[in-house]
Amino acid sequence: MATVDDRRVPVGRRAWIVVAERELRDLWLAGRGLPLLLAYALLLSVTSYLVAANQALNFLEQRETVSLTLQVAVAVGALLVLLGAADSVSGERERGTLESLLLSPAPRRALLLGKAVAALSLWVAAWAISVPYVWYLGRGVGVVGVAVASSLVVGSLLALFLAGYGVLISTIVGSNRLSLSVSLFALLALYAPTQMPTAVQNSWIGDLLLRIDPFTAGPRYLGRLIINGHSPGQDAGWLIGPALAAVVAVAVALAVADRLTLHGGDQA
Amino acid sequence: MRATIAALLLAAAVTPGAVHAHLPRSSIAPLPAGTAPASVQLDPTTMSTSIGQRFSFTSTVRNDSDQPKSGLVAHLNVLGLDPDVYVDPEDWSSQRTIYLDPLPAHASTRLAWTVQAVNSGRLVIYVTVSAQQGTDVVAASNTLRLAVAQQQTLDAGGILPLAVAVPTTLLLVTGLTARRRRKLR
Repeated sequence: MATVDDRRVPVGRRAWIVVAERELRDLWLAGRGLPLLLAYALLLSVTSYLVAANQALNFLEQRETVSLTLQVAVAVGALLVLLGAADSVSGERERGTLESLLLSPAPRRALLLGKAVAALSLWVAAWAISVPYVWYLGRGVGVVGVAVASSLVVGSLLALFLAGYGVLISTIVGSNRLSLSVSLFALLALYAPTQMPTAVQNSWIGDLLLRIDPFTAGPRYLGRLIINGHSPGQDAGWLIGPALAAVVAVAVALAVADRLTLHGGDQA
Repeated sequence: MRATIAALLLAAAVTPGAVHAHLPRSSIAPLPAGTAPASVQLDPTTMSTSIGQRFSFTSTVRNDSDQPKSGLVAHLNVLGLDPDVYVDPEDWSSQRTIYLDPLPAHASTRLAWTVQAVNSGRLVIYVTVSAQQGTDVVAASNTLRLAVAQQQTLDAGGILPLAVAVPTTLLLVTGLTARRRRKLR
C-alpha cells in the first residue's frame, strides 16, 4: 500500500488519470489484484475441466459448456470489481490514508473516478484470462468470436454497475466491513431472481424482473447469443437493464462524490 | 318410514353426484368413473439421438366418445430401461404438464413436446391423460422408444494443460511481484 506522502496528487495532468495510475500500481504491484486473479483462474480451470471431463456435466451441448463457463467468468469477474470498489474509500479510511488523499488538490470526483478505474481493471484482467478457456471450449462450434465479444460487452456493463455501486457504498458508509457486507448482500439479492420457480419466471412480472435485474438479464443475453445462435441485435432488449444499471450507478456515485468525508456515514 | 329416510340419506351421501352437487358445475358434465378420459397416441414411436440433444415429438389426444370433454390434463413421463441409469424426468423438460382446452366429441388435439436427452441408454417416453374431475382412469399413450448415444463432446485431456498452465503462470507472476516488492523495501 502507498505511504501517506505518496497519496498527494500533483496538479497539471488530469487528476483522475493520476489517481488511477497510482491506484492501479497499488492494486497490481502491491495489493491483492494478482492473488484475486489467481483464485479466479483456479475457479475457471476447475469449471472448464469439469464441463469437459465430468460425465454428469458432459451431457451439455458444447455451446452450453461455453455459455456456462462464460457466465461463471462474467459473474466472478464482476464480483472482483465489487470487492475492489467496496474497499476503495472505506479501505483508505481504515488504513488512515484517506486524509492525505483528501488534502490533495484533486477534486473528489476525480478521486472516485480514479479508484473506480482501478477496480474496473480487475474485470479487464479477468476477461483476458477467460479468453483461452473460452477458445478451448468453443472451438469447433464457431462461437469463440461471439462469446469473447459478448462477454466483454455484458461483463463490462456489469462491472461498471458494480464499480459505481461499490464506490458509492464505500463513500457513504463509515467502515470497510460494513461497505463489503452491504455490497455483497446486494450482489446476493441480485442473484435471487434466478431461483424463482419457472412458472413465476414465465409470468409478466417475473419476466420484467429478469430483464431489470442486470445479473439475470446479462447472462440470459449471453445464453441466447451462444446457445440459441441469435444475432447480437435480436435480443438487445436484454441489455437495457444492465446498461441502465451501469449508467445510474456510476452517475449516482459521481453525484455523491462531494459528500466524501474523512469519516463517512454517520460519523461525518 | 324412518328406516327408508335413513336409507335414502345414506344413498344420497355415497352417490358421487351428491358430492359434485356442492362443486361449481361446468357446462360439460364430469366423466363417469371408470371411463378413459381420452386416447393418446405418440408420433414417432422410435427415435435415436445423442446425449445433450434436444428433440421434439407430438402426441395426439383424441376424444373417442359422443360427449365433449373438459378438464383433461396431459403429462409427459420418461423412464430408463437400464436399471443402472437414474432418470429424473424434470431434467428432461421443465414443462411436462399441459392443461387441455375442452375437446368436442370425436375431436382430437395435437400437443408438441420438446425435451433434452440428459441420460444415455435405452429409454421410454410416454404421455398420460387424466381428467380433473370424474373418472379415476388414466389413459397412457403408446411408447416412444428412445436410444440415446453417449457423446464426449470435449477432450478432457486437452484442457488439462490449459487448466494447469494459466493458474501456474499467474502464481509465478504473483511470486515474482512479491519478491520484487521485498527487494525494493
